[in-house]
Amino acid sequence: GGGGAGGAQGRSFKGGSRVLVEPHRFPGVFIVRGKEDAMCTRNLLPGDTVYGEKRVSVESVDSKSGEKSKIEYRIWNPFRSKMAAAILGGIERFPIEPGSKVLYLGAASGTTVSHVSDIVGANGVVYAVEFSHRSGRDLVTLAQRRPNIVPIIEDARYPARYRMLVPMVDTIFADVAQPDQARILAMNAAYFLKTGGYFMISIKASCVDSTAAPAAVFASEVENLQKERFRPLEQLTLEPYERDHAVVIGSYRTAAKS
Amino acid sequence: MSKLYLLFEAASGYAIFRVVEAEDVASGAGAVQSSWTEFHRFASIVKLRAFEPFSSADHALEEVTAVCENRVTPFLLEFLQGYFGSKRGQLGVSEPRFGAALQEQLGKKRLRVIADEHVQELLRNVRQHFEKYLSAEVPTSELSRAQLGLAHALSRARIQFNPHRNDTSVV
Repeated sequence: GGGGAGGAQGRSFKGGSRVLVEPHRFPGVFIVRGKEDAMCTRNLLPGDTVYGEKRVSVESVDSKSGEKSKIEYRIWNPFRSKMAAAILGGIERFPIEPGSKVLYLGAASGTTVSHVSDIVGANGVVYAVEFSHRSGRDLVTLAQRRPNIVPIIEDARYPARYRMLVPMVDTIFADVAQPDQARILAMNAAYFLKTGGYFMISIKASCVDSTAAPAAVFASEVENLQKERFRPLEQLTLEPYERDHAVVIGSYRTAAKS
Repeated sequence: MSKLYLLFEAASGYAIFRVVEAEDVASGAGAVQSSWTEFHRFASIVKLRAFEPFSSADHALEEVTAVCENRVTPFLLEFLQGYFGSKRGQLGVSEPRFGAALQEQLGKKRLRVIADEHVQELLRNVRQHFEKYLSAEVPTSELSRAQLGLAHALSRARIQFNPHRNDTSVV
């Protein structure tokens, strides 16, 4: 691979096993090489865990000064995060990177949101929308420790209600598991997604239509997205991590190349 | 053709814009709209006319809460009446129900409140360029800080004072 491009690398002997962390081809995402490889993100808040996830700490040596420092990573489990499953599944583009502004619809308790917060870093922001107050409370607690998370306890069907809180964003990630999710994404994009920005949507076939074949549901959702000025660029099913799920990634308000 | 104005609600205050060259904008399919991503192009047809900042974080929280619930505060009404006086025209807002509430407060005589697709499109671009419009008066970093702080305050308030909450676990 083309690793080592400015990424933090190092070794530790924690737990007796030798661990090496390499940058993934997507900036902000890393791979821990050890007994078993695992994906991870660099912990924005070293020492802190969000949902009991494992952490790996490596020592890095500054090439100029020779100073040693510890860098901590949080393991990102593809069985618990559809975004992680999509990356490990081999998506070609991942429209979230250090410094990105991301609108995250369907934030739940914030497990994936916390990894997005790691990826975008101190110069990026995650606007995390979640309607359930139970999950919302976890999200608010999380945001108290991580200032780059903006918790929004609202229904994603009414973007007007949070129009004063969200600026134009680079990317919208949607995981709302609702039959009208394409419309929900479209309404939010009309308000907040910049022209030429990106969307990434997780589609659970049974949430849209529990009687149709998943492949047919994905195809009709892609069609719905196209009607709303989204340009799907790739689609991937999330096997073996999730059943009958797909993610679609694409751009917004861009002309198709002829 | 009556003059078109826009109301933009930001985390830092309320702003009124005036749309010039309205005919051109209305025809604005494809090519015209794509040029709006450039600030100087958009700013030549949509001009910032007035900005009324909120006086404090608490004040901002009050205003955002009201706008969320489609309520028009005396602060907003005073700002609009102060600016428009006896001017005639159309005022574009982003939320139809908020627009209806506003129309009721303003009365039907001179200013007609609208919230159509055309207005949405214009306001979308105002959002894109808002920091640049205000850059002479307020540093960009300050605007985004205001927005961030407000969102945190609002979500904390939501969680604390939610009347629907029923799970009061004490663990």
